[in-house]
Amino acid sequence: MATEERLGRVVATILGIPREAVGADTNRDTVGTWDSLRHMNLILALEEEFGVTIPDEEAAHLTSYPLIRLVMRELLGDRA
Amino acid sequence: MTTPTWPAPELRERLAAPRQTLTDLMQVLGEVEAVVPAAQTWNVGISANLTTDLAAAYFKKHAYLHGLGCRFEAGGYDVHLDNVRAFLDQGVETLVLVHFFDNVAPSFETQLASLDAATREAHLARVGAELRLVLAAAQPFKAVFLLRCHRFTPPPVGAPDPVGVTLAAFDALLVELAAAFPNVHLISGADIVAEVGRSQAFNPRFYYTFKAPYAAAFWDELARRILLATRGDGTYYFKALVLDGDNTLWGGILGEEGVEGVQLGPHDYPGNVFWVVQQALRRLRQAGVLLCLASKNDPADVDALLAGHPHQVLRDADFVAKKVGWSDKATSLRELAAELAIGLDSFVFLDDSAFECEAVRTQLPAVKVLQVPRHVFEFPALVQALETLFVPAVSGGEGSEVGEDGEKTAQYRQRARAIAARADYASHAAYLASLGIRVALRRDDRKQAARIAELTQKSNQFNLTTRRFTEGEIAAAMADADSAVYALGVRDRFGDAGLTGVIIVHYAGTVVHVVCCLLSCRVLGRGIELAAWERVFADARARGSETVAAEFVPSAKNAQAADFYERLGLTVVARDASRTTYAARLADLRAACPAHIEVVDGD
Repeated sequence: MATEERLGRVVATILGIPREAVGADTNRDTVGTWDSLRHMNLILALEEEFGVTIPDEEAAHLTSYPLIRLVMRELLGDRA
Repeated sequence: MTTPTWPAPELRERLAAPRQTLTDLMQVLGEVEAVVPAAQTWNVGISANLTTDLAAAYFKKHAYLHGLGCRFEAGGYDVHLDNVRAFLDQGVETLVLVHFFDNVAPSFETQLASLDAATREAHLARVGAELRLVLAAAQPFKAVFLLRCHRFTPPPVGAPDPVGVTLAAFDALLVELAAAFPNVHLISGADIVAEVGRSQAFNPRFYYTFKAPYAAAFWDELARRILLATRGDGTYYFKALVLDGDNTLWGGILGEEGVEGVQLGPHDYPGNVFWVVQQALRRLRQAGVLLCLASKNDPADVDALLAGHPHQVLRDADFVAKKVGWSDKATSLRELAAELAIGLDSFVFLDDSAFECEAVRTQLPAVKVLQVPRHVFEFPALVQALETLFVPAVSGGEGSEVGEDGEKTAQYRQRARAIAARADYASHAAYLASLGIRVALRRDDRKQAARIAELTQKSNQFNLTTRRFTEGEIAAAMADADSAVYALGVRDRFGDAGLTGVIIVHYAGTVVHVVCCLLSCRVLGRGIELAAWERVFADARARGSETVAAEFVPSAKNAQAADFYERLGLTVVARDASRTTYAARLADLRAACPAHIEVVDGD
């Protein structure tokens, strides 16, 4: 599965929103279920899915889908 | 447990997949929830001095694997009493209570070394008093699972251990508190940590950031254990374990190797494996499981082994019934079900032969079939895990008393002997008369509340409403002036069957409602269900009741009781798929006790 597709699946599943709703506008202001506890599960799931460790300072900034995509690409480097 | 038909096998397989990612789990949970709901829903709430956000997924997973829907409520952080009150309003029936030791105060374990004794004790006294209030308020729940405390930090190596000392005192306090409330069951946190491993049990990152110390593996194992402890919220409950002989109870083939030649004894492999398996089976027998033997062997050989082998742990008296000969195992199981008068879905069958296991699985799908592991050294673990299928602890959880169940084998043997005697009588009526049946009727006897609750939890076949009661609910009904709880003890010339029938009524105005009417399957078929009503109706008339109201709620197992109220003389008022309601004027009812039964007050 391509990175983008896997990212979308994780975000949609953990936040409990339809897969097709995940996009440029998906952020903590527009998704009601995305509270700080759900955020914890999201970080956990992203780390698990991609086998990476997301540093705390990055984790706090992953407040939208575009930011998640950007940071995960950086963390994955050539693997993405 | 027969494999539930919900959810579908493909979803079930994905739910049960080992080491699935959180995303995979959440996705399959979503798919399960999208299809038709389960027939029965497990209503569970968790209250903790922690963040428990991750718990829901794992409690749902294990509920679904048991064929149950799940409504999960997560309580607020460290407000047990508020949570309990809210849960009761929300219809939660099972409470999970977690008080994480290291969070008694911030990083309590690390602080402990520098706290003076008075401060340590003050902390414990505060938490103890709070939990006592919480458990008292939690008495209406069907079950409360209290996590015994365990450490978060590893124990020191070769140095004093102040945490261990305080933790032991705190844990002792929890055990003592649990013992005071019959609906509270203990779950060992330390054992879960040992099972999944410290590094998998905890997530220090989320502990320090969000007060969420438990990682997925801990919740997964905790939920698994709680579902097992509740026997899938009471959806299954096995009673009998049918054992093969050769290569199951002993090593080798008795018919070929003879009594002296079979492998069985404490000192040599693999005889030591079968010996320890028999020790574990004997413990199950003592806990009330009905052991049966189904062996393709010469009966004389088996008798000789049971009586004469020096290391045979299970003797003839440990088996409630034996089928030794050349019948196939499915036939033997059918005969055992008839003889013991319990349904095939109450049977677990254990055999080493893949052929026999498959034959039983195909012909008797209601029976739970287990095969002896191919590597015989894995056999003891399988047998030790068997207890999770049988005999739920009625109260007290780990280490609780077994109660009357330990006597079950003797009682079922009496019944089997009585069935054998029946053949000698010309007519069934003459046979019944010859039994000398005596029913001892007791009303609102507080001493019997635990056993009455146990019966309501376990009786299925002759149970008009299949309503389950806790000991607390029974005690409350006994104390309530508008209710009466009748208990029937049954004995005959073959022996004492003990407390085997319950009727609970509630008086409202001029109507007496029958809330519960059940009879243990041990005494079915003798007219006992009719014995108590003369007294019940007389008591109601004396209170000024004019009519009696009752209902029959059909279940998967109680079809044989469907016409009972009509036999008693009541009239159908309304009938639909979920229940039939009945009523009658008390003045019109005779409700005579059958002539072959003598009813006495008290013993």
